[in-house]
Amino acid sequence: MSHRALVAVPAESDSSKYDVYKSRNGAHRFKLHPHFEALGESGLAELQKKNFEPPRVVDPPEGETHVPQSDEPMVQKEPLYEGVSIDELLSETCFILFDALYVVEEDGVSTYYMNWTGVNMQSTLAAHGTLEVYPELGGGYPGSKDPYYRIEGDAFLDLTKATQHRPDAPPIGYVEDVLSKVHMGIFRNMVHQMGESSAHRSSMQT
Amino acid sequence: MYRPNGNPVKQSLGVTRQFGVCIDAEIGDIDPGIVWEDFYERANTLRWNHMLQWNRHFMDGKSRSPEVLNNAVLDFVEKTRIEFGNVRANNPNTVA
Repeated sequence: MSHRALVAVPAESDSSKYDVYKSRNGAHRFKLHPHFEALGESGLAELQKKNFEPPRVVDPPEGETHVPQSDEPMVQKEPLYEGVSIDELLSETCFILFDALYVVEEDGVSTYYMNWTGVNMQSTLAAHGTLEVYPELGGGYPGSKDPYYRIEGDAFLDLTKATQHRPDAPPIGYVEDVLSKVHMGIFRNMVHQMGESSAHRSSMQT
Repeated sequence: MYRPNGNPVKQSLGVTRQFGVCIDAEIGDIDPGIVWEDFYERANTLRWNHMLQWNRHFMDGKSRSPEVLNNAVLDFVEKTRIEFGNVRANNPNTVA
């Protein structure tokens, strides 16, 4: 899963406004922070020449998912927005698509973690998803062995209702802890699989 | 299957996709990667628990009116503020 970032640099026409660029995986580990901290806004051009670095786990190439080319720059050359305030940017931004915002100034950068929210995650998973939990190493993949647990329907709202398939399964509380801490990308990828075209719909029928 | 207020599921993803909170990472002299890992896990856990709480609330047949959904967002902003301190929301009514 990639961790997209927004890079806001002062607009040439009005220094109180910003031009905003997308970075395909620039949020991961706040990797652009040291660069902009050292170079300020003059660091943008350099990153636009530098090749994209792939995420730790490459996005699945199906559906509407965009597969970056190897010559894609670290920060894209064409801005997403021109001459916007940060408030305007935040109002327009779909937070689930980005993980970091770099507000770059002449001599430094302010770095923000973008924490998306909503009230539909577990119910959307309940309506559309089935999650199978396998051992981290050596336990195989779907189809090769029984999963520790299968989570579907209402079980997403109460994981104690998940179906246990193996006696050696870890406590479901541990599974929930891991799921909540490091696997939110499941939900994000699900949104991507539904397609970018649905990204701005207010509702979606099942 | 979760059926809000007994009706067939017609999931709204708008709120989930639109809203969020910017947290000032205040990296300073700390390794940015360490700050990232810390924020990533804490923010994910906070989000999961927040949404679980509200999903259960709605599963009990409680209203999903715009006012209630807005309260859910405000609740998230407040929880994030308590957890992380310096936050900035994208809802003009909730800007820190």
